[in-house]
Amino acid sequence: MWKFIVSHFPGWDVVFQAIMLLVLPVVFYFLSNWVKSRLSNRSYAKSKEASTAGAVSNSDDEEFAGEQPVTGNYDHDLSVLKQQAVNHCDIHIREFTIGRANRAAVLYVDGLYDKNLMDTQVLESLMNKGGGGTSTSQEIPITKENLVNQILPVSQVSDTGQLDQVVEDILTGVVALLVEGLEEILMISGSAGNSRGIEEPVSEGLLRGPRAGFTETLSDNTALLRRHGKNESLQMIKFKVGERAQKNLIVAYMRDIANSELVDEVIRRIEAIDMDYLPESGYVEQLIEDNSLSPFQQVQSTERPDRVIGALMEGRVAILLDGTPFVLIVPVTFSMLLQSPEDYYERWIPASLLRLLRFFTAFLAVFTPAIYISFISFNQGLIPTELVVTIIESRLSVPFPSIIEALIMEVSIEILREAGIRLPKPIGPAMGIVGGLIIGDAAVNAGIISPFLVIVVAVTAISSFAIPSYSTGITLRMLRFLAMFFAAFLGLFGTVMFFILVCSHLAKLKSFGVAYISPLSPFRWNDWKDFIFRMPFKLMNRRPILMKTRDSTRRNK
Amino acid sequence: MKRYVLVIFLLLVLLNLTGCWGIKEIEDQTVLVGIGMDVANPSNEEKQLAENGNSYPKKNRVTLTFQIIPFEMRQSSGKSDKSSNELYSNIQETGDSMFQMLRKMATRRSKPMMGHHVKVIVISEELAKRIEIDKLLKFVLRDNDIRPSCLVFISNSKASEVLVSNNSGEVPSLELAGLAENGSKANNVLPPKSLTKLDGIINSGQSFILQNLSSSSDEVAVAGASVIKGKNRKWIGSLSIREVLALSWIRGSVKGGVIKTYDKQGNVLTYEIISAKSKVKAKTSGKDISFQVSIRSKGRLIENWDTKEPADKEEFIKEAEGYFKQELMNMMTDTLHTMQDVHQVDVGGFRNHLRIQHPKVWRKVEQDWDSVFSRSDVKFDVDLIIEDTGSSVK
Repeated sequence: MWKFIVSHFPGWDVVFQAIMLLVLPVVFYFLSNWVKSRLSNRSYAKSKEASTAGAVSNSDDEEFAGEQPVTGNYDHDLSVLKQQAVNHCDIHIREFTIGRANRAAVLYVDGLYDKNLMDTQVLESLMNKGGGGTSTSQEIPITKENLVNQILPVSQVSDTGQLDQVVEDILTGVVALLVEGLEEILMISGSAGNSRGIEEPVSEGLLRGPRAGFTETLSDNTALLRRHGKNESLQMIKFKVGERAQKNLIVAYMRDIANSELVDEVIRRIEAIDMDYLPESGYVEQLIEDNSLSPFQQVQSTERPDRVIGALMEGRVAILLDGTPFVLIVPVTFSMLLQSPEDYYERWIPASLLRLLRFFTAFLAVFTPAIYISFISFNQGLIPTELVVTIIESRLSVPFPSIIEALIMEVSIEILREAGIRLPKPIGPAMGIVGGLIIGDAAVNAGIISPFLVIVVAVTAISSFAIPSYSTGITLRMLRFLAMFFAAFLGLFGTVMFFILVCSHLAKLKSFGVAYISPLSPFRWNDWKDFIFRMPFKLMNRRPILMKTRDSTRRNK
Repeated sequence: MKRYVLVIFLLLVLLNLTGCWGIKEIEDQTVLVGIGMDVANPSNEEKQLAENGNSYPKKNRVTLTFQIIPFEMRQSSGKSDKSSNELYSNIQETGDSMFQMLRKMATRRSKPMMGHHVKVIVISEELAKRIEIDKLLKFVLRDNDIRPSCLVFISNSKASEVLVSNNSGEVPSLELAGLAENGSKANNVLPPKSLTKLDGIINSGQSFILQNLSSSSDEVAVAGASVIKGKNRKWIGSLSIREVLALSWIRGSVKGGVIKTYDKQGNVLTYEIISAKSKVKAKTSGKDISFQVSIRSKGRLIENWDTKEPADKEEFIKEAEGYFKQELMNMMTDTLHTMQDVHQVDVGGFRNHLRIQHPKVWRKVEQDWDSVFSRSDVKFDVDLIIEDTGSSVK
């Protein structure tokens, strides 16, 4: 009996596997817990730090600033301002006289203020009209009202009674006008300066569609949105973000379309942004997204005003940041990232086919090398016999296993692409020659890769560039490498497993409360009309149901 | 959190279950495309190898011919000598265990055999007479390397001769597989039998037919069929092309093709089949089992060498129909004779009709069906209509 039992004991390898089966999940469990706690701890610590830092800075302010009202004493005020501006070499102080007696000074930052406006509208008007000077026209007494109402032909003029406020405002592009005998300092705004012309977006090219793209100037961008048509319900709410350097941020939405809960949520997250400086909307994107561990972007960024307007009309919310042409759209679904505005401008049949093609290229971009590897290294039986003969013939001279071979090529392609972006334009074409000739042809001739792989890599690279959103392209390219490792590990089985993993991750992912792969899951038939296929407009009468819009109909039949 | 544990646990279970750990690169394997089975007859190389110590205890019963696609390292990419480079090569191995023989090849080739691409298995008639077919195919059916879609043929001559092609540029096994697929377009060729189908048939103990290959000095053709008796799973005879054609009429698997006959004067008459249907009715009365085969066909008169006869004449059409009917009847009666009297097996699918229509009777005669069928009565009823005479009446 005992002998029988002993003879049925498993071998050591089975025991090892069993132990691993038990130990690994526990390890993974604690590992994931640890990662999560680390992440949450850090954010908690950060917020705590921020609150204490805020307290400290407040006390600092009290210490040296205090309330410093404008005294009305020209010399005193000017000297105080000069003292404050001592560390700002770009603050210019121009002193002049209005009329015979009234001394005055303008303070401005070079470059932030429109020079033309300054010279003609401010200085000229003051020197000529105010007090007359050599002119014979009647003298206007210099009072605040007269200055604002009669002398200065500038639209935006305000006044301040606080001296300590002045330098701060000057640094944002306002011109301060200090006049002898006035109790207030006039603040003339009109900061404009050099904004770029409206050009076609570089990152999202269209064959048919408006050529206008957003610029770095916030007011231009809001104007671009307004220019799409008279629309009272387009709301724009302004926020200031950044602790050390404040920037303007605008949340735009359609009042009678967008779900108010969504708007509130966006505003809540924007207000919670705690960052010393936000150079680009990518910062905002990463600070407000739902899941920062996911490889997929949960906020769409675009340079195209028409795309933003389209999203607003679907009940989404746009976020515009000063200083960047990239506008964010929330919430986003995965299908949106594979869509192009052109889908709506072209007729529905070709547009649908192109959209279908893009879904296909997304699949290709991730899985082609993985499928190649699993076929070559594991599942040879799935290749047609004639092709097997060709592949073996081409691979005979290759010394590497397929995963190494594919990695060599895929990494080279990624390097080429990255280098191509960074290189100055005149050298760009040289990259193509190097890439095409050396990597493509010479590597095959040198016998380190097989010609068949060149096709695979080329298809993958082209496919990843066919995806309209650049960020999605990066994500998919990154996933491609993971897929390759899965394939090298477990063959086609691993590839399928990876596919399932990605799908389950996508199914769980949410962007501002909207399921990432909707309308696929949760299944909403009505939204399928604008999903894989773009149905004719006649059928697309309703806005996306998943957005829970206030006004659900797009067109009145 | 519990879900995480569950998911990771399931993933790890999957990892442990796969067993795909060993990478086998495609170029490190020999592609096996065809297997031939012959009566043992060791080749010269084998004899020499055995003399020099490469032998093991065995009884020489079967000689296997492995058809592989050889690859040679190309010296330089510029010039590849295609002429010296054969597209395929056949290696022979004699012994008694099929699997042992396949594994023995590892001692003779630098790369292991990959069985995924085996397209055909050719068994010689001689071998099929001596050894039961299920014994020959047992290994192939159990092995999961060789695909169940692999086709099985019987060859009149030696299998090793069938697996040789004289027109270079073709791999014989691939050609054979193509031949069988292509052959199914003509109605005198059986649909090819794959291992999947064969597995079921052999296990059910019924008699069956396999496609026959006949080879000339430089060509191989699909011709007729071999009859394997269900009782002993051995080759007992063959059917001619005409008999195979008749069988496909009885089974109702005719998709197209022609019936050719001669009129009284010996002129050629050809009928092009547009549609053909067959219905088999099994009748039982007491111990007697009989079958009524009704065949309906529509077609056109495509050829008549009697040029004086106008083809649109009513009487002529009727007469022609009679000739074709007669030809079809003769064909089927002859085939029935071959089945019932010569081979005494049912390969026309009558067993299924009885099984479905009279299950109770079937259970009684199941064990001894071939002999019961040989005694039963089969009647034919042909209804053949010439619908038109093509685009020219003269």
